[in-house]
Amino acid sequence: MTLLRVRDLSVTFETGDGTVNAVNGVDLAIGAGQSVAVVGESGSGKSQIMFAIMGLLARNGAAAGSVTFDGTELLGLDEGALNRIRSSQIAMIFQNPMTALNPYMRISHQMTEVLTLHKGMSRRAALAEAIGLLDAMEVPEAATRIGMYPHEFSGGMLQRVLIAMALLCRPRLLIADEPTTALDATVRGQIMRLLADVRARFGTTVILVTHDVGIVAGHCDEMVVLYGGRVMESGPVARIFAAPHHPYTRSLLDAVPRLDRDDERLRSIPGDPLGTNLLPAGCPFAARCPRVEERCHRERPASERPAPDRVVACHRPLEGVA
Amino acid sequence: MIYFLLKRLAVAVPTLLILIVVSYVLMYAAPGGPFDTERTLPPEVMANLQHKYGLDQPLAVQIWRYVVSIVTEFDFGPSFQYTDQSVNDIIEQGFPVTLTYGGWSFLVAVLVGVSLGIAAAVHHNTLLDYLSVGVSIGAQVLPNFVLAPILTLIFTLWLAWLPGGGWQGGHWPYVIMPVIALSTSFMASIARITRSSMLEVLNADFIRTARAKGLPMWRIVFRHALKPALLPVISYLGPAFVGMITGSVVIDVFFATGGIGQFFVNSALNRDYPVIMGITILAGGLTILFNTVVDLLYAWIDPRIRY
Repeated sequence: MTLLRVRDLSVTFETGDGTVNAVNGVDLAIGAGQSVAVVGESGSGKSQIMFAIMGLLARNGAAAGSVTFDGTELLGLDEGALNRIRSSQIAMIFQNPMTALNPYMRISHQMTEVLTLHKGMSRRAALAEAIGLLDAMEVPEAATRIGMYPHEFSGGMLQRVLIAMALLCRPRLLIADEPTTALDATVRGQIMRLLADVRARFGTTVILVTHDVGIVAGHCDEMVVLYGGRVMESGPVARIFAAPHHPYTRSLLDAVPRLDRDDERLRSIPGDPLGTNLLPAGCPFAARCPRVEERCHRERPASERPAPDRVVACHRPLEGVA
Repeated sequence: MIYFLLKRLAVAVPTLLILIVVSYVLMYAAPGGPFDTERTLPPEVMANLQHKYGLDQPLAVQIWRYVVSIVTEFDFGPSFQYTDQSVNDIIEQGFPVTLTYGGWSFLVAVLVGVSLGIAAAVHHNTLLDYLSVGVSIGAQVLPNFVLAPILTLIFTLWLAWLPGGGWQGGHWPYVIMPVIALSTSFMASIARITRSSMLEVLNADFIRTARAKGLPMWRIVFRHALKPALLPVISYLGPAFVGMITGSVVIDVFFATGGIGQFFVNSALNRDYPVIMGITILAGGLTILFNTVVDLLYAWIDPRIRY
């Protein structure tokens, strides 16, 4: 069953320098219980897709297209109706846990207000529930620490608090927007394991937004590769890792540092990511693509389905796909 | 916390001493003296007067005597201008007046200013925002010596609703116009500061988290954003409060309220040394006090600040 369906989603921002096209016609289908990675470089539009889903775009941003969650169209929904879905159905955790919590409020208050608001719980019951979830997220001495302020926690601990806070209403979908980017390498693994745990224990569907292809393997079933606000390739993680169809995906995978290869240097992708205000007529990756041909600059490649579970948008895909 | 307050007190004493010495010296250096009148006094009379008030002593001795009498007897000396009145009497008379209209002005300025600022920030770039910014700028550029006559013109001369002046022990019709005249420009500054700091806070990451939690806007504004947004407002309010309760010469003169602001200016013009000094010390002491209050409020709002 498809829990979240995104159709032809575009996100634009009106700025002083003109219109910025952050997302350009993205399609996604996320099944209930799945764990999906949305991968892309900075500026690929991956976070803006998530903000558009949650209705959290900046004031100067606008979303067009369609986002349906469990059959309900989310785009254009009024603030009150969105508020009933936020956190209770779709929850989100953010990139920098150090700034994502309110430094002027105790953790207890920030957590319980979710439950008193959405579930109509008493403060006492909400507090007990919140402590229980902090415990489950392996925050030591949860009952004492819940009375503290964010600055009294470490970054990794705060991300656990944010995950616990996101799970309070047992949402069906959890969007994790680069949850480990701001954390120490040693803590990253713990947070990723915790997210896997969440999925196993609560049956939560998870979207993991990341620029780190390295953490996708082993943690997600499906992946979507974005570039210049467009989907380059999507499909099961294992199959994409084994045989990427899109030259961009191949470059991304090659750029992951590996111990089993005898490289002198890290392999990087030549050129710079696209500025999002000029919308190229052809493939957004054409300027940096090693397999580029004349047609790529001219014509936008359509999304093809080389296999029932895979999508690729490329004129010259790899692995002998026509 | 206790340690912090003790430390503040320990700093306050030398600060006030420096204030006394510097003001005294400046005042003394200004040309003219308290007993210079149009009619030249006979030298013997002048010498007598100078001797009576200790003005024939060297400056250092005068300052020393002044400080000693404050510390030992809390006596700020006699007024040279108003015979039979001490500085203590003048402050006891005038300060309650300015405290009353200044206190009300403060309340009005804070309540209206903060509400206007929040409304403008929440409805950023809408008609309400432009309206509130327009009102703030208008109120800020309108000096109270212009506003006061306009108010009197409207409410006293045309509508005949309010008395044009006097105090009557602070009976409310006498308080209204002084409060409006004094609070308007402060209100405008508060609105402006609140608006810009609220706009900044509403862009913070933790506000996006609050929105992702599905909290309604009013709750985000009042529970999550208000406290941090008020921090810059509070640091403005400390000195502003002192400015309001020590009164304004425009208000006192125009509405004949008998507040302390009028005495301050008169004493400066007449070289009434003890009154100048008394009111300066009052304002200085209050400034120190309310700066400390501001610091305590900061710690109350921001848990990362601890003393």
